[in-house]
Amino acid sequence: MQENILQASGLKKEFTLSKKQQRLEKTKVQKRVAVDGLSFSVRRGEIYGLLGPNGAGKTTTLRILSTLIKPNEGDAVIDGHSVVSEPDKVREKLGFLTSELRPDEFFTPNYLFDFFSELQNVPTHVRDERKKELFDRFGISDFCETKIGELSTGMKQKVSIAISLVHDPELIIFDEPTNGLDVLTAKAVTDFLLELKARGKTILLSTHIFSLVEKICDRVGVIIDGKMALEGDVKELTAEKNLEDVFFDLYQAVKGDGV
Amino acid sequence: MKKFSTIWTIAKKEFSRFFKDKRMLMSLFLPGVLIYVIYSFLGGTLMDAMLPSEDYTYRVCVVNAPAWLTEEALSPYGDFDIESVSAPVEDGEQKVKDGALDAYLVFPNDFVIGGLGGELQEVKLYANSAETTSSMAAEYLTAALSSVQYGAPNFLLVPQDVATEADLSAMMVSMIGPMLVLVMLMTGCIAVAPESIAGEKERGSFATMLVTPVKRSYIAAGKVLSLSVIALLSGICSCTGVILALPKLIGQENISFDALGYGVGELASLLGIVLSSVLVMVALVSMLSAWAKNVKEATGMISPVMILVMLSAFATFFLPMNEWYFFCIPLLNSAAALGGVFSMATQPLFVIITVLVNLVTAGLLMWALTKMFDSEKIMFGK
Repeated sequence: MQENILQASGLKKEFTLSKKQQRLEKTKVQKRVAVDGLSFSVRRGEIYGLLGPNGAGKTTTLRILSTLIKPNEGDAVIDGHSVVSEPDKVREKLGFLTSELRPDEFFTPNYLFDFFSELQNVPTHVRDERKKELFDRFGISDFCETKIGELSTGMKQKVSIAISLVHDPELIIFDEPTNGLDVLTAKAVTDFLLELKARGKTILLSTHIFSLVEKICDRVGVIIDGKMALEGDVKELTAEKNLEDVFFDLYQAVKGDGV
Repeated sequence: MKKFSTIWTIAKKEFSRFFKDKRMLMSLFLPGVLIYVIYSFLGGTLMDAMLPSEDYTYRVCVVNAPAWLTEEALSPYGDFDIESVSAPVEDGEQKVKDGALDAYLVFPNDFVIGGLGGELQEVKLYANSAETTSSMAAEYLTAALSSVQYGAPNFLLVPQDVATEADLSAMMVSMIGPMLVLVMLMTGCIAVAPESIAGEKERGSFATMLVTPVKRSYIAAGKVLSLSVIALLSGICSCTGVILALPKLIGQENISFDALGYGVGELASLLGIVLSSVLVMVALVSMLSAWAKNVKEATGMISPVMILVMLSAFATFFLPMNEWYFFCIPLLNSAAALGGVFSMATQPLFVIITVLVNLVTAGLLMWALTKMFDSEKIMFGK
């Protein structure tokens, strides 16, 4: 049995609705629960997928785990450190990549790699080796002195991935890693995730793309309305029918006929 | 017609953007409200403060005073203490210079009031235009003598300004200097802070720092210190340009900075005040930039601060800045302390209070900024 690198227990996150939101949604409820008592664990060395429709609470969960926001209830322990009480320690252990976090486009990949290496306390010689390896792997080397703003969307995503890995984290959290990418760049990213897994790293990703989960994830957690509706081994879950059918059957069971 | 409806559709969207956004509305209209409130306050009370107090007694020495020039005759203008002498006083002019007298009035020996014809007699009025009380005394005496002149135009009042070039330059620079320095520093802050904080927040690059193990307080300190240096450089650059153009700008070609003779004390005070003030300004503007959702909103929110800075500098024209508590109010203290330095009337205690208050204020604002960087509502709120 592999040890858990991440253990989330009873995570709950509420957001206050503005008057305008209440009016638009024709409700008098002042709070909206985005994540509702979510518990799950990620084993060291696996790729875990959080699957769910838009608004299910995937991104909120990942933001809690990456310490950008705090849960109202519950906690998550990452490599022995609590996201609530030891956020600084947690940030040393993980790499977080989401479309909302974008590298400053004024700078070059080279500069930002060095900048974030310094913030993560990476020694210079380690930084230089890691930079060469990652830049070569993603084909960034030729553009390493080009301002990020002048790079293509795919290349920007590759630079973001490289920068999120400056400190060689044990756990890497990707929010929708292939969103908005062309098929070639998307393949390069998924291939890289498998490479990271082969090197013993743990990956937690959120997605609404069934094929991505089937292709690279070891286990999956399906979130509907902020709750964990199903969790299990991808191979076992898809033994009889594909993940898409499993999801829709589950969704119908949870939400009724309104799919 | 389609053309106009398209234009109207576009205009409507712009109106909606501004008028349906409470924060935007606030930043648009708050400066106006603020100006009204503060200017009314200034108009009502501070203008009075500029003049010498009502119970001030003007000290005047008059040589060969005509019988009609009495304290009572001058009473409609204010309280006068007239020392009447029969021969010119040797150090009369010097006493006005030193402030021992507010005015020194010299009538000729055989001064006789009369009509046109005959010899025109000269009456000399010595006053110091760099001192408010002396200027006011001269103004009142001139008014009193002018009323006599209507019926007896056989004398000529010759004003003699005893203010030295340095006095005049110091007065001009002390009036314009604080406003100039503070506004230029503030302009530097506005040029860099919104872009660095609200801009990074808007573009999503700020959060990339928040997922690193670096403490929020280090991010706040790194931002504020670097922005202060940039704002300072920008401020110095602007100030130099304006100082060089100042004599032409105000039509006073004879302003002489050489004549001011600022010493090491003044320069050290200036440095301390400017450095500590820029920290306060940058920290304040950084907080507003962190609060704002984007650069545009940040720029709007900062304009009331710019008005406050200008008013602080403006207030030093009127307020008697000789009480320690004035120097405990951030921004106003900087303006007042700068005024003291520029007029070469620096009081070390006031400069020290100003610098300390500014450093404590900047520290508190940086602490608040750290808390803001840690607030998910502020950093990630939509």
